[in-house]
Amino acid sequence: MIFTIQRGKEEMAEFYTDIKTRMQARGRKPEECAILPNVSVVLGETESIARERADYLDSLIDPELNRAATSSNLGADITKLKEGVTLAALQGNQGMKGSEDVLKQHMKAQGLTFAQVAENRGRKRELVGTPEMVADRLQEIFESGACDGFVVSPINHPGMFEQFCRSRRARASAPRPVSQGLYRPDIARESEGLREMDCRYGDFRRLDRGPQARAERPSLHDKRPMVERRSLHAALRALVGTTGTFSIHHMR
Amino acid sequence: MTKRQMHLIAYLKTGPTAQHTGGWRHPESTLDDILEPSRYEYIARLLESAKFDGCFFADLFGLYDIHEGSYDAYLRRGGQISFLDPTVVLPVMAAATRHLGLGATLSTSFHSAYHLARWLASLDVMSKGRVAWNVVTSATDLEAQNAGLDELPPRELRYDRADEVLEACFALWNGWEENAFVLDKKGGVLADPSKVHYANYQGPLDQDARAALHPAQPAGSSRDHAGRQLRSRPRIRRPLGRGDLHHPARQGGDG
Repeated sequence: MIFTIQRGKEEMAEFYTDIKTRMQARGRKPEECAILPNVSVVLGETESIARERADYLDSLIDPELNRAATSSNLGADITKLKEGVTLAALQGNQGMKGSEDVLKQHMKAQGLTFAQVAENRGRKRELVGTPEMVADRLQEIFESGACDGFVVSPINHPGMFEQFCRSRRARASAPRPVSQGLYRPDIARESEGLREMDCRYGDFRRLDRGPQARAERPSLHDKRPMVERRSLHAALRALVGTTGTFSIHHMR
Repeated sequence: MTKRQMHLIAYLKTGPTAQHTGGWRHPESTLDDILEPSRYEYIARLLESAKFDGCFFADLFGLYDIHEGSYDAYLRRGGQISFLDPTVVLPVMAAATRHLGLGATLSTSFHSAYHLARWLASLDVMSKGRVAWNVVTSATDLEAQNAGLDELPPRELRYDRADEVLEACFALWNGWEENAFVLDKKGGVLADPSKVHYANYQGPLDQDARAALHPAQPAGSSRDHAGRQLRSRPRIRRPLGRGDLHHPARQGGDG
């Protein structure tokens, strides 16, 4: 299972297709590894209520905390950034590459400065609307082949999960054709949880995930010395960095 | 082809704040139970009732003090803070549920493979096979310092180490054959030593080379699923290496 942090449907789809194609090229079944992008949702009884809630939540964000969070994720004290001081110099070995790339993507896409993005970190990323609207949107993304589901990140705890789970139960039991077979609809059935997503690292790591990583990903049985394997790792890491992914390994 | 079903995983923290930095101030955020088992039991039951596949705790091995060289703003204003160790919180949630997948973020950068393998195997046994490992490398000096290092190793080295730690964990989890427990009171035989094997894992990085054994399976494990999974685990075989000089007797049987 892979947790990714792409927020746009197109970016999700591109990543998804890339991974699944590479799995097939390696003789593996695409369904063996679930790819789940991160989403957060703001729900309301009506769309305008949901919008108002989202705006209210937005008003609770402290700009200084956002800057501190940006420093934390980048592994660099961004208050020290100035002419002649690069981010890389402040980082040393630190920093989450995926966060850095997402931040740069925001700067480019929205024409914002580094300071603006650092301060607005995390704003306006939620899916906002009625439960029906949000469920339809998630379903649409899912059915478009952009993902196998979602990692749902809470806006608040437990309120957001309570709303989400209530809506989900209601939708799953609703006699609507759109929900059939999509959400685990048979509430009486016992979920098998992660067991249904049996994807172990031992297989996953053999994936060629990067456009640069053309050669075979070293396997557990790879007996070449590490120095030889390192170039492959570097290529893989470069890609993992740009997509902000990591794997969740299910032990059994 | 069967119809695809949407998978859902919940992102959790052992604290009130996740990715939205203002969320903890919302009226629907509870704060008085951050350090109470009931908070985690409740969310686990809630997610299970809505058929989430699982949840996982994002985690940091420390408290961020990077911004202005201090944790002032981050702590005062409520950044993402990991108050509790997920490996301690997850069993509480396991006891409250039957099916929910339970994920722990554990860094490969500092802990020994043996520690990680033992934690995860024990959690997996106690939750009846519901544990997942969010495999990460650490990205801050502060975590390295909490682990007794001066600073974070370079990215390349961290990822190499991650590979090795994973390989070593797999080797450790494969140390006990399925039917190693005999449990024969009359005959006085508890377990069959010929079915227990040193991992004999020899990694390319010296710091992770080790040979050890670890009981990954509970006695009398009869769960169909566990058995199926056990058989489908990767088989890891290594050529005899330096470790074998100290442990001459074995090259793993069923691996």
